[in-house]
Amino acid sequence: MKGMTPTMGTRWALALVTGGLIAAATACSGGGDGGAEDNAGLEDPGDCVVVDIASSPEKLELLGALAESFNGSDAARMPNDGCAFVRVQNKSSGAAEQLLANGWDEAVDGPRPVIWSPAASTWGQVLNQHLSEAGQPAMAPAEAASFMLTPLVIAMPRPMAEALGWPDTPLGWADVLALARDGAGWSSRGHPEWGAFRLGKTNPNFSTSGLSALIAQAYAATGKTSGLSLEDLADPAVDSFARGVESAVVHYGDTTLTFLNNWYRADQRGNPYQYVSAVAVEEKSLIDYNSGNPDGILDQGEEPREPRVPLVAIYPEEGTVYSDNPLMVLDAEWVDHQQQEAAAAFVEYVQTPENQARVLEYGFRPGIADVPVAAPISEANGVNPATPQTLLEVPEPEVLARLLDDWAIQRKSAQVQIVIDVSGSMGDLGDPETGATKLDLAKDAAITALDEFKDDDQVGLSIFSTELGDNGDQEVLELVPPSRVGDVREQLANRIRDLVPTNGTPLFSVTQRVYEEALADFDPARINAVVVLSDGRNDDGETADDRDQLTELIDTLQAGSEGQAGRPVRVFPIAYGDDADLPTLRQIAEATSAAVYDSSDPTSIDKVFTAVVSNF
Amino acid sequence: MKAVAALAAALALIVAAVLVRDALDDDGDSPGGSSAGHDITLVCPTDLADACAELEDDVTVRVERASVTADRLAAAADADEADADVWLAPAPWAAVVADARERAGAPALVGETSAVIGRSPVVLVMWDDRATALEAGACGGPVEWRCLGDVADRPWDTVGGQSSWGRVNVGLTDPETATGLVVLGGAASGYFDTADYAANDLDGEFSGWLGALAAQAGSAAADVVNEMLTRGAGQFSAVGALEADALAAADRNSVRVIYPSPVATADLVAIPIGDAEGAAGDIAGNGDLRRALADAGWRVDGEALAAGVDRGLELPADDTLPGGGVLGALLARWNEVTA
Repeated sequence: MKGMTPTMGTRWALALVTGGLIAAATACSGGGDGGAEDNAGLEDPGDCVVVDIASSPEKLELLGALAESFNGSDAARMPNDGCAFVRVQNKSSGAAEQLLANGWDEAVDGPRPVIWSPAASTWGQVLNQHLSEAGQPAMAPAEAASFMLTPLVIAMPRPMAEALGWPDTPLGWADVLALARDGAGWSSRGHPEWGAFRLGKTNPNFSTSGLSALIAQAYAATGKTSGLSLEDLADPAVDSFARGVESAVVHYGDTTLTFLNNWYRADQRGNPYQYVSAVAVEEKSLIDYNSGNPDGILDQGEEPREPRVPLVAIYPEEGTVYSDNPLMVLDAEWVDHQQQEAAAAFVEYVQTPENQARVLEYGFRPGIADVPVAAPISEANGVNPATPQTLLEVPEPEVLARLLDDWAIQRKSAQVQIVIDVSGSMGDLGDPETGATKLDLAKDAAITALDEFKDDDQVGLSIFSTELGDNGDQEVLELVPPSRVGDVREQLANRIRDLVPTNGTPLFSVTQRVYEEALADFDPARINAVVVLSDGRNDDGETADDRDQLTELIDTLQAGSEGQAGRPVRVFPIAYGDDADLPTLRQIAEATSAAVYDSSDPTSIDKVFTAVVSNF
Repeated sequence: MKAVAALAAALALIVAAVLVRDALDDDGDSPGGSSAGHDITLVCPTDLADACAELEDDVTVRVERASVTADRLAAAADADEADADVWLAPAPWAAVVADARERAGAPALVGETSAVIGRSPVVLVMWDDRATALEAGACGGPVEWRCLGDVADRPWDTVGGQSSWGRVNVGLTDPETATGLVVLGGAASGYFDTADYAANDLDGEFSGWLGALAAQAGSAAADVVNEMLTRGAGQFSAVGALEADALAAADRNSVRVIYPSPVATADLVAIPIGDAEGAAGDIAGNGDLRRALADAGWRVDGEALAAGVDRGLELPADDTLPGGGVLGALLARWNEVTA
């Protein structure tokens, strides 16, 4: 990148939010309850006791601002003329949990945290369970101060909610299940023009909203509000309930922002009804959406624009859970007594009424009772400050672990064609440290990602380049037709291992062809998708028709994705390496209401591939 | 006697020098109130260097790309670190810097800009036969930015032209130059048919359009009109530039200068850095600078229009460009599609 914006843009995108610089990076869509990871330089704390915080992204800006005002203040004074110094870094909840459970490499992942602040306390339970399974002691405290709150809600376009009786009729997961099982879809509610009922839910292994929704569904299936047990989960009726809800899912993913951004784009085009009917999100995200800022971040030059059709929050009548944003002082071997004291001072600082009032500005509910809930948490913004009426108890760690294990089986199956670019440039160096080529790295990542599919998923493998095939006249070769992964996982891995770089990059024609084949094989019972990994611009040896090819491709993708009769096949492109055509790949993703994934740094491909597969 | 004559001659020279200096000051107002030590530093963009040369007797002139200046001003801790007093540039650049600093939580650095010194509208310069072909072909009417982007990078024979013309190659003034950002903003205003757009609107569809327009970006230069005229239609079918940069095209029968709607303009101002508003005002009023700009094709109040400037065109009241943040985002999108 050259010139002003890349340098200045990068510099200023690194928001100075605390004693440290924190990058607001975007892999897929970033922010929110998923995705983005990044560290930047951390400010020198001098002789103060350092309290590093790993914070989930949605509160990064606010927590950073509080750290900045804390550092150097009276509140940061420690005994013996000492001082505390807080630094905040961005770590999404699921990613931080995995790092804490599996080993936090400071050289790669930044400083190990003294305070971990995931979006919800449930992540602490998950961490402790994973540590326990590995024979290690618990790290997350049983009790932790809550920084701020936001409940999980089911967001729906207002007219759709009204068609279900909102706001007078209590609604919940049972209604979602009924709609999911109703073959007539919205026709049975007097709106055939809205098509089938479609649900948006994130992957609970990555996303707090996804995990909260999973808990709420399970409680709804049992009729309980506390004490969810392993026996409950073993009940066939609970299993059936879960499978029924999951059957309506459009796709999963690592962040609700993918849904909200796509939904907003559909709204701006005048039809927010057919991409999804409902999405499980945090109340805060719904407020952001209705304010015209669906991802909660106003990037350079953006201005909030209210959606044509606002969303309303349904607080499930069976109960819901809060994302409580705990400030967990870790019981870890790298946290000493001084750091614990310094951390406690900061926790006390953020809980003062003055600082708690600030959380409202961000659409969260205060974590202390001294500060009442107020605007923007109001009916005018589609939410109800008097609710939720029923709260659900966070299950015990082993129950949570079982929930996640069960979900891996119950979730909607997928039918995915993985299409890998094997053009000559894939033979370029990808990791100078190891000498691995870009194709080497992609192959490793793809093979690893195969484990993320469940056995019942149908997965196929194709490669594309020019001059393929026995006669050198093909652009795409199907190496493994869509097959049950449980039967072909090893075959897929072997074929991937054998890939070698070849010639050109016929991106447009191949995407068009593979998409059309996926459309022809569309299976309404599955998530239908194509994953295209490409490291370059379209190059099929004939430049004259490039624009026509792209126009035809986009038109085809949009036609297949829109409208009541649409058979949604999502195309998830991975822009791989510096030379990938990210803008065009983004256009392809948007045309199918999917998401593009940026792996411009080839060494990030393993994480990116995992994030892509989290959609299925 | 010789001594007396010499003394008289010396006095005469001194008087003459004072008179000349006064005359200069009368129509120019020496910048910074003092020319003795050149204690005012003016940063001048490369594409306006010739005009800035007129000020070199009065101020220290530093010439650099506008994007470099914007980078430095956005990152500077204060005016001292900025190492300059006044920046001569189209007004949007001041907004770009102000937006970047505000987003970073940095204190304001650029002050209130001077009154507009000169204006120049964004134009499309196009070979006449190509324009005629598009009007009858793909555009179905006057050539506008939207249509030009739609046909850009396509073979001519698919959009109404001849196969021998190759592809529709569009050149744009480098958006990282002072005037190039205005041209890019004008092109986007043409795409949206309004200046009332935001970064939210720069979606994938827009990127596709911009990518086609930028397909020849490797040839982007500060003076694309010159490249087009000297190298012929094989280089560029059309270029986007300022009217002031297109004077050489105005008197060529084979070339057409088009004013696409909405008409966007580069409104040149002196941008004070820190508290140098007085110096900025002085520079803006400098007669030598204003005359040089007018001679170069800018529309400057009180100065005659140069040959080639469309006297019948009435400029809009403002520049028909979006805010600084949007232009910054637009530039980022440009760099993305040309990476």
